Amino acid sequence: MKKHLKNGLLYRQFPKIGLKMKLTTFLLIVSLFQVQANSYSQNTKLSVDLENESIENVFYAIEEISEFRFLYESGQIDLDRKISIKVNKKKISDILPIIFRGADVDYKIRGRQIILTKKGLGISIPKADTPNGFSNKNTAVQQQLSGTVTDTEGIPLPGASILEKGTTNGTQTDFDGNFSLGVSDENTVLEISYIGFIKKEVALDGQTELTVVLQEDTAKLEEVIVIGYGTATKSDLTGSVSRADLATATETSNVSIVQALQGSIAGLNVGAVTNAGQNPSLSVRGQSTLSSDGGDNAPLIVLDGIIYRGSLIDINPDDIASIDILKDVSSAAIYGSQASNGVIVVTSKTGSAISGKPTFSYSTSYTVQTPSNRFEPMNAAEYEQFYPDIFWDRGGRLAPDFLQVGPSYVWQNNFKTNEIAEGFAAGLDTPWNELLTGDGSVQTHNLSVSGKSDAASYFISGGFTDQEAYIKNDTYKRYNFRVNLDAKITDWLNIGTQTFFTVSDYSGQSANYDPTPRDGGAGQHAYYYLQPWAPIRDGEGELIPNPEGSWLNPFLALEVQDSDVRLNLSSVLYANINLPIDGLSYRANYANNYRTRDWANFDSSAASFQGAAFKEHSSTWDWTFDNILTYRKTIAENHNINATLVYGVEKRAFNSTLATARNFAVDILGYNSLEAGDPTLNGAFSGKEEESSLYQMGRLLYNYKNKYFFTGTVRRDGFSGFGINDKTAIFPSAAVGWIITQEPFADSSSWLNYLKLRASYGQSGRRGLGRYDTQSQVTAEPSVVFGDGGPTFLGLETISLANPALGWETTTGTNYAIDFGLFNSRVSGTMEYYSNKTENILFAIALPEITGFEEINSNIAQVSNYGIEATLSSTIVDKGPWRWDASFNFSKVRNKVESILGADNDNDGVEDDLIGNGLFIGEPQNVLYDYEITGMWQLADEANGSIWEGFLPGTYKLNDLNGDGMISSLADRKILGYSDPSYRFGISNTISYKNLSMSVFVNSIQGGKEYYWGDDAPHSTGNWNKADQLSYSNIPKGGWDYWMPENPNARYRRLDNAGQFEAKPYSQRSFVRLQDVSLAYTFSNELTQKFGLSNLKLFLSGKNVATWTDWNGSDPETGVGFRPDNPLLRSYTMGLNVKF
Amino acid sequence: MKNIKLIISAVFLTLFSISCNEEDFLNEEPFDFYSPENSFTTPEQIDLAIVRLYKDSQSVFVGGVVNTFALFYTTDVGYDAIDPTHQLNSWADKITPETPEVKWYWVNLYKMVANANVVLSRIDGVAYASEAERNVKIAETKFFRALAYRTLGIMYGGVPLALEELSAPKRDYVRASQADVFAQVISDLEDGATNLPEADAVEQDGRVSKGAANHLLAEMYIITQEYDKAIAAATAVIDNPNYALMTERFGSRVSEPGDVYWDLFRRNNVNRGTENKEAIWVAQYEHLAPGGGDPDNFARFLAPLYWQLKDDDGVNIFFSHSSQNGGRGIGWWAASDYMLNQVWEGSNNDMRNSDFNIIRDVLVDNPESKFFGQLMVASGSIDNFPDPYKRWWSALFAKSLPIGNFPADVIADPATGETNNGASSTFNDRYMMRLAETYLLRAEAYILKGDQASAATDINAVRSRANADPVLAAEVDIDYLLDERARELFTEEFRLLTLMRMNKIVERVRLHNPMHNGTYESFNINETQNLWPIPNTEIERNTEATLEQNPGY
Repeated sequence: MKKHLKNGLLYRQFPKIGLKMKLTTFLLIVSLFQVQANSYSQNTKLSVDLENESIENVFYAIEEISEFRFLYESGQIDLDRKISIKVNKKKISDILPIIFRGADVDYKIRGRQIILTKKGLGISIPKADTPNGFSNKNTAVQQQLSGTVTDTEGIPLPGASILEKGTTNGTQTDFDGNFSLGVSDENTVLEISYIGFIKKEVALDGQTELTVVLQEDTAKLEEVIVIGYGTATKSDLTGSVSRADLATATETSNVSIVQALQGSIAGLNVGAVTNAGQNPSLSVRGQSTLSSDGGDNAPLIVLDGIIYRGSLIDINPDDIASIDILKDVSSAAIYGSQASNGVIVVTSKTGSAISGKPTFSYSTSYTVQTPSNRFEPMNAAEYEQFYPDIFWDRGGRLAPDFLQVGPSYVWQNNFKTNEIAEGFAAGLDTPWNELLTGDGSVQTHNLSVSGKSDAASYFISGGFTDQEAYIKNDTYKRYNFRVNLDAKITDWLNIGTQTFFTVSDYSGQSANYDPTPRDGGAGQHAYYYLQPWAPIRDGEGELIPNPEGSWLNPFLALEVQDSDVRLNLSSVLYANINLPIDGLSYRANYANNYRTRDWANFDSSAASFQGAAFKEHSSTWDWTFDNILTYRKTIAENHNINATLVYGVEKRAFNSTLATARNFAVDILGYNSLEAGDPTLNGAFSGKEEESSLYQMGRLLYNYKNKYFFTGTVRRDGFSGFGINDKTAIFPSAAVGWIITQEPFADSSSWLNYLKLRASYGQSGRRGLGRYDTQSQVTAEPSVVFGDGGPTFLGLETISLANPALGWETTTGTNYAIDFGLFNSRVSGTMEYYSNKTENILFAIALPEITGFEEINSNIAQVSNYGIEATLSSTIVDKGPWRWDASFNFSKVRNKVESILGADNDNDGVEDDLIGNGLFIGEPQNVLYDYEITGMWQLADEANGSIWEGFLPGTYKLNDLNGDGMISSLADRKILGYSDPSYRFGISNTISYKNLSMSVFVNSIQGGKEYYWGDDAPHSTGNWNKADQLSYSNIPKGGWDYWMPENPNARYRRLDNAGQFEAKPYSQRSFVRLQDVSLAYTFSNELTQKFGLSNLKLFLSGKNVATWTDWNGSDPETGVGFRPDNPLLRSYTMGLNVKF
Repeated sequence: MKNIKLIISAVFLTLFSISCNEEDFLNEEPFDFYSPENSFTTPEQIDLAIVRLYKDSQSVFVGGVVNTFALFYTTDVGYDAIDPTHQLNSWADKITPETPEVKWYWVNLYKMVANANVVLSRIDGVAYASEAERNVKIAETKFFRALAYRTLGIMYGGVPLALEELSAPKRDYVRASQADVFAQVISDLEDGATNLPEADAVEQDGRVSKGAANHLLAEMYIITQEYDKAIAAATAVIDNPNYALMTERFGSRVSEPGDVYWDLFRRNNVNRGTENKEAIWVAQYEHLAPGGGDPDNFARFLAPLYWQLKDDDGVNIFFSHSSQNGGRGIGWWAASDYMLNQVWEGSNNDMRNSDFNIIRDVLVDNPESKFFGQLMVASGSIDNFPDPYKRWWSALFAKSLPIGNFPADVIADPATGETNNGASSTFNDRYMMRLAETYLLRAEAYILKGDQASAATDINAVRSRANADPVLAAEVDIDYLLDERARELFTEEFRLLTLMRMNKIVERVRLHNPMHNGTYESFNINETQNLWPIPNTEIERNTEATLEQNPGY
């Protein structure tokens, strides 16, 4: 019976109970292994040789040699009938007719179960809770009870075992998770268990109907983790790999799947998003390279085994089964040169329906979004109060003390247009911001069907997402389709695919007008800055193009025709072959990802209202071919081997074509008739790029007695984008683990039930450079038209310096970790420490521009990086219907520039800093190197002549570090603080009562004393920086604390002028955010079954509900300072999931 | 079955073990850009690299908006009219190693040097039909390198001399002496004066010729105090039959009221191709054409904000900004009183101060104003309008405004002449060198040599064309010459460079700039400010050697 033990089911007890106890009632068991069982009955061949044995003994003998189990109701089958049987290698379906030849018995093979009934009664599979359900003769039945066992998602758990504590009285749940059991005492305690879930004890306390929700085992030691080019169980891991908890991911308004992970995994940093259809920034374990640019620190994304270069937002969150994050260098090293920022492994769902029948699933949600931090512009009355302050020094106030208003000064003369002047005179109060922004919304619908049979498994889905963001016309629509198939062609060959197709529609020009969309203009937020006195339309009802003299009227933006549709077709085709050597298999992955963007735009107000249009088509085609050999074998019982060899190639190609036209004679066809533009002004542009990579990788996972673990990998990588001298490199890594609690000396009953130590060492790389970055590039662009009406001449110019020596950036790292489980894994956790060193960093070093170049890409410097991460999970309460789970994660990273160019030109014995790039030896990378503000110059200083050159009254006094009586950027700047966070933490709590559960997630990023500083000064915004711009820009309600003659101790300098030194009063971004709150209700099974549903859940959730911070700007996490950028949105979502 | 399995496995394993040719697979092929190796190999390509230098020079001196105007409004002829603390109004406070304009000229001039060095380093490897052809191209390239170093030398003093194409990063630049810089400029220009074609033999209208090289040489020899050489270089231009001062009405708008000085600056009258013999070198502009050049935004920055003026009833004087009034000016900078009034004192019929060329009063055109149809200034309609720094009104300089001749695409209403926001540029080619200046350069050399009589003759050549009274030899000195240059060359000459090369900037700013001479403010300009500072970022990045800062910064 040993072989059943590993299934962990009560099943193993069945033969004893079923036969020895001679059950009098029909006992039905539904096996969790139904699917395998079906093929089991097909494939298993038995030899039976019995002479004149009772039927009962025949059953017993077959059960001994096989996994078949006979089920019958006592009394219906004559067990004492004697037969003789002799078969050799026959299927059970051939054996049964022999056994029951002539007997009054009907039989049915159901997986491994053989169900017997008296002939004529028919074979029916009654529900376990029907009157002829369970009862156990040996138990004095006092109380009949029934119930359901589900997971936290409300999905029934068939085959879960229910045992009356301290007895052998028990049963299992049926298909639908239902059970029925007679117990001896109405106050007895039941033990409910299910593989992969935490065992639960339930005190009956007189209840006769139970709903038992089992929690997944948070330690999840047997969980299969995707580790790249293969899988391993969690207990086998030696590196640092975190699995994301996606349980509540679809309950919040996350258009991108990774958004749901924000703050929840130690070491994974996900940024906030503010635009429709925007990808959040991602990084793993902070910044190891020198550039703080998001793209340079973005982890590698692997989707279904293939490196994915597309947009993450194209992946439907509803299609995702798991996300694993390879954090430490040794785990990531299998991706070699692209791994030093960590790897995020995304796996899509497969058909793994437990019941064998198709599962349809539909989910929908509706979200309302509103800015988390109101930042509204002034209305006309407020603005009129503020406006004259801008001109205090231009006659608005009377010298010398500037406290009296200048009687002859007409501040209205600063209006830029006559329209403004007229609007002011007429008392106009146009609520531009209100008209052009509003609450956003997200609507999602997802429908999928999945299932699995002997021959195939499938997951097919379709989804629709419709987002409208805060700024009018900032919209995003996404249509997702996916087909994941796996077909078992023969017992040694599986062929399958993971294919998806996504249509993303970003069409529409948002009210945040972007006059040069193709140049990546970020929009000007004119809807915010426009003065309330500015009219929208003239007397004839026409839109006024420049009501303020500066920006185009944002209502014109709404008239721009814009079509921006992006398609993403991604298909992984694979074949899995079990090779003739036992344990050896070969897998070929051939993946194509074809992405296109068709962007067309016609702006009738551009080109002095003669119209400008473009049409652009660009496509990216990536293909990958991976060959993977895997060998899994247990040798001599104790040596477990999992070895992988990979050989792969990747090619990526990019193509683009752009046509432009302007000055349209007739513009009614817009961008669809570019030829209607002035032919002499047409433009045509095209581009093509290619890059290729190839790689070989070997990996060995070995463990001895599941106690001592070793992982070793070597990867060799080649990339076309590198200098001709250095196209390939090798990245090795090794790691070990030891589960101490597996040792004989460990006390299994101790409070410490699990303890594992891990250590790893490895090297990984970063490409850091785009293709062609090593080459010197020469551009040719239209430059001169000689003479009047002559032809255009191109001009050639070298725009970058070549560096053929450019190679890989290498990160070498160690990782030490402890995994533990306490009190029967009621508390579990992981603590990690890592230390990385990155060398030969790819970096664009600033050059003296005497060279003609601003910078050159180089391999320079050495940066060290270390951090700690802790994750703690616990089930705090698990009593009756109540349950409270909590988890906490914490991470902290520090980095230090160890070396830069290795030069000591000033001969001071210390390597020189590279100030031009903001790099300082011994300091973290992202420093705020600036002037220190010590006070404010006052009018008196000017009057008595003590004010310094370059300064004005009301500008900041700066610290003269070298004491030479003047301020210079060379000598008087210093490190004021660091812009990276000091530490981050997240706390999540889930409390459930019966079918109702509530989750609360708090996210925080903290700066300590010196870290996480940023610039949130109002004057950092160009439009609020000086008088000219302020004279035509609205400002936030309440204004800010700016210097005026009557406000000499203000926090911020005078409005109109910075003087020659634009110093910034930095502030800290630390915050605590109530990031997610959700409430879910799962309807009881009785109710759902009435409607033919297997599961129905309703949820309500809130995101970015509240934030506590001292940051003066729009949002600390997005880093948006005191300016009208797209706000972080607070959202409330309501939705439902239904399965049938 | 087992056989199939083996065969398939064998096939895959073979595939698996065959590695393609790595070197070929990883070879990187550029498709949509050029490399230096394939870009500078034929005479045609070399010429395109030279075309780029024309664009570079245009960007430095003509485009760049606020930056280029620093060459005018920081001097005696202009000031920033927005307010005293605006932009570069105060030399001592605003011209520092952190000033964006200070960096802008440095960076863009050195980019021009680098682009020229690429051509000069590669041209020897290019097959030309004749050495003469190659020498023309070398000379053309050197002209631009000289132009860059001449400007750098005047602005910053002795700057690092980079003369080769760079193949590896370099961070150990040291300053050459100013004399070495100018010697290099002269050497490059002498090559140009020898090998460049005559003005009537250039490949395209707008290309530099011998005349341009000689004109610049004359200036350089004045700087190096080699006055006879300066006179010779200027004479080579003045006596060249390709050039002549225009004395009769000409060009596209002769039928309209005006004078020859007015004609010189009309759209399509500037290039030599339009019978203009006075042009020596013209920066090219072609409206809307790809590569047509950066617009010259005088119409926005120098023209006053007149269209917002109100009469004493608070009624607008102008119905809008209009083509006939010079477009949509914003009065960012303005001519100083020196330029507007003082230099014209005692001039009677000076054409350059005619009502065609400096428009000091215009008709009120808003029918709702009680002054409608009257002259705005004369009628006193704006007497009560507060205009502390003459941002709203001083005068319209017609030579830098396409008055009544804006392109159709910036006209909002053809019936009234109302313009849109695009009416901000001259939409015109622009003189980089004009023969009138060559006369004044030669006059300068004569003055410095002590030959006032010859100087007066040259100055009078310019004056007589403008119907101005001749100057007496005894009255001629450097200050008179500077006044004459202002009269003749306002908005053309880069006044900052002229005053710096004469070491006159400090004196003249103190005297005539209203933000420094007490008219509006008494800002300081330090004695050391005849040179601009080297940008601190350059000192910072030049990690392997020290770039000494100019004194006083």
